Amino acid sequence: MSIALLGIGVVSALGCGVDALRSGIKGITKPAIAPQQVQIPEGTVEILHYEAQVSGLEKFVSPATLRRMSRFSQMALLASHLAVKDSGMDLKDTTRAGIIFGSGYGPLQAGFSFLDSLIDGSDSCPSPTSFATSVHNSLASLVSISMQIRGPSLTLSAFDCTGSAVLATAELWLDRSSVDYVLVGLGEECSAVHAYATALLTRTEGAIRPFLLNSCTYVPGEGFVCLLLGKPNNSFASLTCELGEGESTVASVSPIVFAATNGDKKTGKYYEYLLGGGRQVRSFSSLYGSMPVGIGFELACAAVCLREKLLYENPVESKYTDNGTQDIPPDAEIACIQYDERGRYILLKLKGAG
Amino acid sequence: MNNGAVGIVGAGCICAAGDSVEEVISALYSGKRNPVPPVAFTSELSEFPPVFEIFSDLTRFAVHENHSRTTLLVLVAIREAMLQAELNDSVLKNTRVGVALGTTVGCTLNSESFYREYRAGRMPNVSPITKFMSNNPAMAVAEIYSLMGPVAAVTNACSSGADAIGVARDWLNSNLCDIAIAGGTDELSRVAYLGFNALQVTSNEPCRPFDKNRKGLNLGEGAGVLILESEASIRRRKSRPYAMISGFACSCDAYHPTGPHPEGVGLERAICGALADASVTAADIAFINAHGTSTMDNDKVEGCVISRLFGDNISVVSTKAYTGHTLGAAGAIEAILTIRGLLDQKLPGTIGFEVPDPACKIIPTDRLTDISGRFALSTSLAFGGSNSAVVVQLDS
Repeated sequence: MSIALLGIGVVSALGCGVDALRSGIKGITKPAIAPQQVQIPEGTVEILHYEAQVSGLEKFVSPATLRRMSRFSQMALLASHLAVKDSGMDLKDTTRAGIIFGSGYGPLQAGFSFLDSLIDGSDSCPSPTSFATSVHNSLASLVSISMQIRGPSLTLSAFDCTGSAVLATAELWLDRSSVDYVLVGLGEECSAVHAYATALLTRTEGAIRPFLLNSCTYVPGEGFVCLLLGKPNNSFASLTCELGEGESTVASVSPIVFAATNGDKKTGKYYEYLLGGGRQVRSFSSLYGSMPVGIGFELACAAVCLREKLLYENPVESKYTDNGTQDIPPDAEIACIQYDERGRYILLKLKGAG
Repeated sequence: MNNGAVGIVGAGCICAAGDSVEEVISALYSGKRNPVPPVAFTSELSEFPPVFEIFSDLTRFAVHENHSRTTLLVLVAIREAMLQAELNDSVLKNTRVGVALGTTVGCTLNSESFYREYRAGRMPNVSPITKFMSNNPAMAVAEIYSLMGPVAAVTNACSSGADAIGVARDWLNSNLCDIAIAGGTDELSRVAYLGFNALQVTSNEPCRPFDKNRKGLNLGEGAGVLILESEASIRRRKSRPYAMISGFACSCDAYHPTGPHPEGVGLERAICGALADASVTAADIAFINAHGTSTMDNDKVEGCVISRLFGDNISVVSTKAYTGHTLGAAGAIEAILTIRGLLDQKLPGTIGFEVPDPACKIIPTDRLTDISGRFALSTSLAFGGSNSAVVVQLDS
């Protein structure tokens, strides 16, 4: 089934909104990459992470509400409002709109905040607010309350399998007409514990090099991307979704492929067949960071290209893939693909309306 | 089968009431339960809300030494369900099998000992993090059984188990897989125990769903798994479904981060949606296995919605009185017990219930009760205002 991509909301290290993403893709804006000094048994190491720039949420929620929200919640809520605003639509019957959010790791920082309240206080008086916020579906709940979305709500979390489950489920909901719109959200947040684990578990070789497929160039990223999806209509782009394993026959014949490679050596090998053969392969992970849900950000980048009718060059030079920025027709099709550790993929074909 | 219905060819369950569906249902029918202060962990609370804890040795089910208790629980349930469904290695290898499992504890990095060490600057070993990374229940099951169908870990708080069944049913109806392992799993956790206590929704005595003097919930642990199969695969494999998932719907209150909408409008939408999905009316429903947590708010809202939609004479049970609130597993365990109720045409009494609460507007079963019918409903409510309803049906 083909579904309509109606609106995009992005919060990332490039800033907030589609304009900030476009500016990053064009090379005008650089992502905010923050260093963090981490103590490990071998000494002090510097760990980089992409730091989401969250601003402008006060246009959508009251200052009092904003103060009570976790940073991850702010990212999710801002991306949601931006996606609906980007669509130019007014979700009238909100019982016919659903939410599907996914995060590879979930709201880790809220869980640590709850543990802080246990450690600093006592077993009898930890923070109930932190506990409630640490529950994975707290983000979807917050968005449903803020935007009064009263249809089905689902939250999924399975590391690098998350994006495929979220997007495939959204397609099914629209296909069986249980809703008219689905607000899909994918995101991650960075934390000090994340940096500590990265320092100990990942031997990274510097900045993200998405096409050095056999090297670990993983740099944690954070942010949230929301996509407002609907039934086929006259939107600027339509989307189809395919799940599979091994080499995708569809992706291998697509002239333009956006690969959610992100410096993770464990999955890099699965993308090798896509390189070369005159195919235009792009990856924009060096703009948003290494995340289990990178497919959402690649899809947003593909949507920007279709709107601009320009296939932008890779932000990180690659001998295999770089032919510079090129014009693409209004009805161009961009295949976005992400593999998980076991070689299963999700393939999203985004086609311009022409 | 009805349009959209999928076959149930196997079920497995483990919780404090027993290590198999048969053991659990026997405990329910004989009115036995065993809530006790937690043994798995200690706390400095002045009073200890009882829990429904499993004391069986689970380690023999470990496929890998790094497997968490949450993963082990679901492996126990899957083994039972697969045996019943006659899913052997050959079938698994030649069939597209998906996994949709709900969890809350299983997707949360809540190693308190690691975090205490980390905060104290003692640079702890990251093995709790690698253990967390290798114990997402849905991914672990897909890995263990080498399944290449779709994988989803549903993290919708207390409705996760029911929602996983809904997700799996959609996959089967859309031909994304032929067979789906659907359910939920969660272990008892000190963090969740203290968190629910902080929210002041736990009871210091055994829970009493829908009772006027109820004081809150008791946490439990367990796993419930259904093997669901598409109509085409049932024909091909000549498998024998004994019941069906014939309706599912979920909706969001959009009202409060932790409490239900006072009028239960979201729950009503979910129930009506599930009935419509199954092409049945309220009059077709033989009984309801309610979410029935025994908290003041849940039971009042849920009872009022049930009364409004089904009248005062519908048979209602809360099996959490025997299992405790097993969080991400609850919706799946309760769906399994709902199916058994239909198959046996009887319901256990809601143990602990004694005094009707006029505010709840329903009176649950207080003893073993005969029922008659082919359809039943299981409801789940969750943090975040999520509501889910599953209609199960005896195979025709």
